[in-house]
Amino acid sequence: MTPPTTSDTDDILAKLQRAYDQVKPDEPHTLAVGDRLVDDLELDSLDLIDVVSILEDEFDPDVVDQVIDSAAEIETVGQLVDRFATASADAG
Amino acid sequence: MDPVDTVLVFEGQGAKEVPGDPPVDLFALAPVDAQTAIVRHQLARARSWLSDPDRSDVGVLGQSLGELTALVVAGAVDEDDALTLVRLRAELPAALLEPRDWTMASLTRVAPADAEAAAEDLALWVIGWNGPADCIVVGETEAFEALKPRVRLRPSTYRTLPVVHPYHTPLMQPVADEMAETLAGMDVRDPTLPVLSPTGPRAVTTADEARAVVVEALVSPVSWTATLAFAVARWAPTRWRECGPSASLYRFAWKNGLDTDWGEA
Repeated sequence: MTPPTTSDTDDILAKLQRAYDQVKPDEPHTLAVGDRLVDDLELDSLDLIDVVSILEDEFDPDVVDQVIDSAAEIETVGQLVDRFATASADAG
Repeated sequence: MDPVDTVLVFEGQGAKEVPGDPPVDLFALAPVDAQTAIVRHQLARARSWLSDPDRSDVGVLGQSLGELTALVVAGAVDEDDALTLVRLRAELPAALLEPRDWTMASLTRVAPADAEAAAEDLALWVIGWNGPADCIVVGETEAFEALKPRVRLRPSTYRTLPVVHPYHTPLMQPVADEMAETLAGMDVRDPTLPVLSPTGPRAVTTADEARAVVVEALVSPVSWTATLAFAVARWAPTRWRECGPSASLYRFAWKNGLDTDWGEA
């Protein structure tokens, strides 16, 4: 497995930003890796799954599945980005 | 087509709190008090919205408990009578139904029809058809546990709701019968604003129809996807405004393909 590059993580963060904007249009926020999903962004578990699901067209289905499988353990935007990056690398 | 400018939308029970200073923790309240707080909050926001005469061109639409709020805003039911119905709706199930351990949950990434097929042999019903891959189910807790692997539920793809009775299922018939008797003695009027009911869905234009939807909603699923489409076709609204407390229905607007001006009242 190749570690994710900065450009990978920037790309994932940009995709997450677009998904977040769709899920929370009335609460504009520029995502940062340190943002806490619940405490800072007020994303409940189903909101998080909505964000991830919106990205189904941009990632391999297995990647989305892996992220959803581990969603309960993800607490920050940075962890979410890492999860996508790791799952994408695993998927090859 | 009977166009309206704005749809006022009222959610059902499920919010954690009613906003305020301080906010009201709905999970700390008895169900009847939580439901009363939700309806009062929704009424206050709707009245505030409607206090601007430029905003009078509205239709109303409520989901589950919110349907009672919609009927008050439409002038079909008095507020005091609606709160009596809220109390009965909250308290009668415990008095009339056999006690069981119920779980109500909101599921995502599960098509309602798939959940229904998977629950065919279970004491579990799909009671909310909220989107192409979103639904609400209620069933005995054991049945819900059995459903989980059948529809590949994961801890993050469902959320249990703070509801302990099988609303919107045939099991509520004894409660519906009592509610019908109470409604027969209430002064229910023809709505003065356009109303749609997610039971069907259908338009509510007379006092008799208002009585009927309150009763039938107790034993019927909430067809939210069909209701949104029905509202668009009938009203062609330019904007939708949720009246709280949590504005949870926006997610089902975009999931059902509504590209529209949706916000909070």
